[in-house]
Amino acid sequence: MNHHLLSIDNLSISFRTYRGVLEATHQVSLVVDAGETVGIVGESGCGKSVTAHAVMKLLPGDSAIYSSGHIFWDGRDIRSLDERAMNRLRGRDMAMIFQDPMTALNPVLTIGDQIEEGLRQHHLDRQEARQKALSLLREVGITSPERRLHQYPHELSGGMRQRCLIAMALSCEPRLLFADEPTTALDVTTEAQVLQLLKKMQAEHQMAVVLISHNLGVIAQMCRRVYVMYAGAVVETGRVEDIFDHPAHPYTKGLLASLPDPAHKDKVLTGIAGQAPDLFHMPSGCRFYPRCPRAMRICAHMAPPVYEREIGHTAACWLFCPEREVCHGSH
Amino acid sequence: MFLYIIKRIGGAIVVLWAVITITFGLMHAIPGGPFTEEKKLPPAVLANIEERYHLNDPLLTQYGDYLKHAAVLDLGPSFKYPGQTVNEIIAESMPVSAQLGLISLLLALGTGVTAGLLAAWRKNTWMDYALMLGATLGVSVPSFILAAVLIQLFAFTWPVLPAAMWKGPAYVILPALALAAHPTAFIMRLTRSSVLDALSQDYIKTARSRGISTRRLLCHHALRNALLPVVSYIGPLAAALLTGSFIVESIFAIPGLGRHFVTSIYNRDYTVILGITIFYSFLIIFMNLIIDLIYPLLDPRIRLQNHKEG
Amino acid sequence: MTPDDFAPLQEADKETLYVPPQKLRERGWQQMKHNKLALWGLGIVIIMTVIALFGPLLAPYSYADQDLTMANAWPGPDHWFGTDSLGRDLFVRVLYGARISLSIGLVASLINVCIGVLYGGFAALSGGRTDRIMMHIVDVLYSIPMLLYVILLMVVFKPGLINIYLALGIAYWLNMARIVRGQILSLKQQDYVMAARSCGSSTWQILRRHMIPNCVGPIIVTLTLSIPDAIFTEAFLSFIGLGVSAPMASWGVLASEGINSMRSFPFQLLFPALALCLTMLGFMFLGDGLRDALDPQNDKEGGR
Repeated sequence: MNHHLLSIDNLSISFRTYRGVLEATHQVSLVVDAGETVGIVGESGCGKSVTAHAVMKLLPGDSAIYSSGHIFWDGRDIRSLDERAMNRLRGRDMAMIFQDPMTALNPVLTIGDQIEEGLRQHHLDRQEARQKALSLLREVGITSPERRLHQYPHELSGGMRQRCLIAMALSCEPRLLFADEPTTALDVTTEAQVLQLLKKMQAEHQMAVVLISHNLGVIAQMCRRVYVMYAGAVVETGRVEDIFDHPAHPYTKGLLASLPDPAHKDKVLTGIAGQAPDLFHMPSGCRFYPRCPRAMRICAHMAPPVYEREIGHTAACWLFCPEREVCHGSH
Repeated sequence: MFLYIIKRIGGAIVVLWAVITITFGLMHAIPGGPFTEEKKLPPAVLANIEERYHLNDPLLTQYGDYLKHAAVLDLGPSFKYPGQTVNEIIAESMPVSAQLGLISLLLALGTGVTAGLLAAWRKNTWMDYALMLGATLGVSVPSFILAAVLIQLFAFTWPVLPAAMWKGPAYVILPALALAAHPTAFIMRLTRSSVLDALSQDYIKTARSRGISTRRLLCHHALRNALLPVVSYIGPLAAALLTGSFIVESIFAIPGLGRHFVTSIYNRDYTVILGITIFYSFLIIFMNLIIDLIYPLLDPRIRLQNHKEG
Repeated sequence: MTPDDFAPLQEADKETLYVPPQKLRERGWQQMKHNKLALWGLGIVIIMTVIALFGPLLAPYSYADQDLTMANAWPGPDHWFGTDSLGRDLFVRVLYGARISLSIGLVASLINVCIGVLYGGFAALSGGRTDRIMMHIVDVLYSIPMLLYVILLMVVFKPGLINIYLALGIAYWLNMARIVRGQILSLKQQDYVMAARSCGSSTWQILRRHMIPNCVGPIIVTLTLSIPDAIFTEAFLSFIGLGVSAPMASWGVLASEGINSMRSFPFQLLFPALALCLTMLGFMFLGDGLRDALDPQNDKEGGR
């Protein structure tokens, strides 16, 4: 029935905090097919990373609550898997690279230790693991890999470390790679190299990539389809062209309007007024309406359903309610 | 590396010199001489004694003499036990204290780290709560009370172990428990919190995302990092065991250095107090030096040359 | 749904999203409220303080009243905690012990704080060579087992309450100095301090607005945790005969007296020991709770 590689269905994640329970994502639905690159874009704190971590079950077990929804991996419901079963999936079926390469590597273990460990977990012997680690490091473009294997993370530069993390993530040839803000902590030049590398790796290994970023440029460059998230919910989805050329949701429009455009230097950068809501004080109705330039009465008290604009292009916004279009005619 | 060690040893010698000077100064700040204290001695006898111990020399000469002797590890004669030198006292009682101390050290490290790791692993379960309750109680009970209670329980109420003295393996158990309890509890809390801290780091998430098993995460990734604070606690731990031994050895009547120290305090036997203080300081400084030297082996981020963060 | 629903919404009708940020102190208190152990600790500390302040006023006996006919009496309606070998009422002595033990903890810790804050603050603010030398001295002193010097000081000074305050006070400030210095040094490099400086704030303003408020948390935590240490050390000194002098008695003195008669009159150990341990627990729970709550970096929103 389910032919998607990954399919997230109405997933809501909450956290227990001392201030009460906080809903970090609200009914997020998302699909990823084998081999494709999907982007998730949104401001920080909008639930992008939580969604990815939820799929890999990396959220802190004592405070995160899966309050509703399902996650299907290859047709199997992940929520019912225990830690041991998850460990078989992690690394081999899905892997992740993280935002900050400075902290994502264990400072007291050598690079070699950390790469080989994952390989050995998946039944390679010491010699094979060493060989594989070397070839991985070579593949991600690290010079003199024999020496790097014996170095500690603090002896490498940020870009190098991110390459090592990519090598590590790719070591067991996962079918899906989450890249959680993979270049945010890097220089612009290093960023380009790392993105290039990711692209190349994806093509060579034919894996699916979920790229999480707040950087629209990175998303446009890398992805085929995009999910736009705001305050824990998906507000718009579509192909890159749909999103960038005909954005539907006022939030997406606002995001795009805040991008500088070198071709039109006289363009006024409008941005979006106000700030993202505190997750403890979520507005009633549509989460975006207090900042929305086109807010309507209904937005204040009822959350909008998802409307399909074209095939594969949806937006959660009352502007696209058929009844409204009947009333006002389409502008 | 070699240069660093030389430098550190040089530093340690300076510290020892400071220690000797401070202790010497303190002992001579006592109003009157060490023999004017209790019962009045006949003036002739007093003069005789003071002559024998060079107490009438100018202070600076006495200080110079003491330094000279200390440099060749001669800590002088005892005032209260004529004919015995401080060196003899230390040599005689040190082995006993060393045995007890070493056993307690291993006990504290072994149990403390294991229990702390267990508590962190089973965080917020009954096991965690029970262990931490034990640890908190352990930290809040003074060792002399604990020693007394242990004796009452295991030597009198339920006589399975000897109450005092030092005559064989069975005699080690109660004192070692009493001595190790406090440090064990402390190490347990330390280990638990640093393991939890390590577990919350990003690199643990990375490792988990690669399917590393929970056991390996705990024992390989988290523990390595979490042990660093424990290792740097070994110095203070040794100091705690030393001072703890004063009490435990006194209560259990163990003929060790700690009991001698306490007795010499009761007796106001100044040269012995002075000598043992210097000896203890030497031990601790030496201990700290060794720990500083092995620490970089565990934490690759620290290089010996710039070890002291500036 | 009516057409009216789709009429534009006026700006004034929108909810305001701005939520005033919680003050750190309020957030700290909120965290404390959820930390039951810390609240218990606070409760114990308050009760013990009240007992120390007012308990002896209400007591029918003085701590020194001897009644040899009633020596070693078991706990009963006349003497709630029994009496000691000289017939002194143990309940009253424990009440007085609270006064002495707590005052030792507090005074010694306050002396530590003063020396530590001045020393650490001066080192960090002067920076450079001065800082290096001052901290080198602290490093050196750190490698010396301080308890030995406290013992030595007590041997020299002769036992007594004031001398215990002094000996403990001047021996254990190293930690405080290190913490204050570390805190100020790291604050000096914070962007907001740089920002304040670039806006032309004077040194005094920076000190008052940024440094002091940010140092108070760690200082309070260290203070709270050093009080039980001082009480403990005093108990230790009492045991080796260097505590306060008779007939005054701290809990440490009472407990070590109790040990001698433990086999025949266990209550003589039990009550002082209980008081001592309970107070220890109280301060430690409170200190741990404060540490969790007051550390601004320790943001528990993620609830780990």
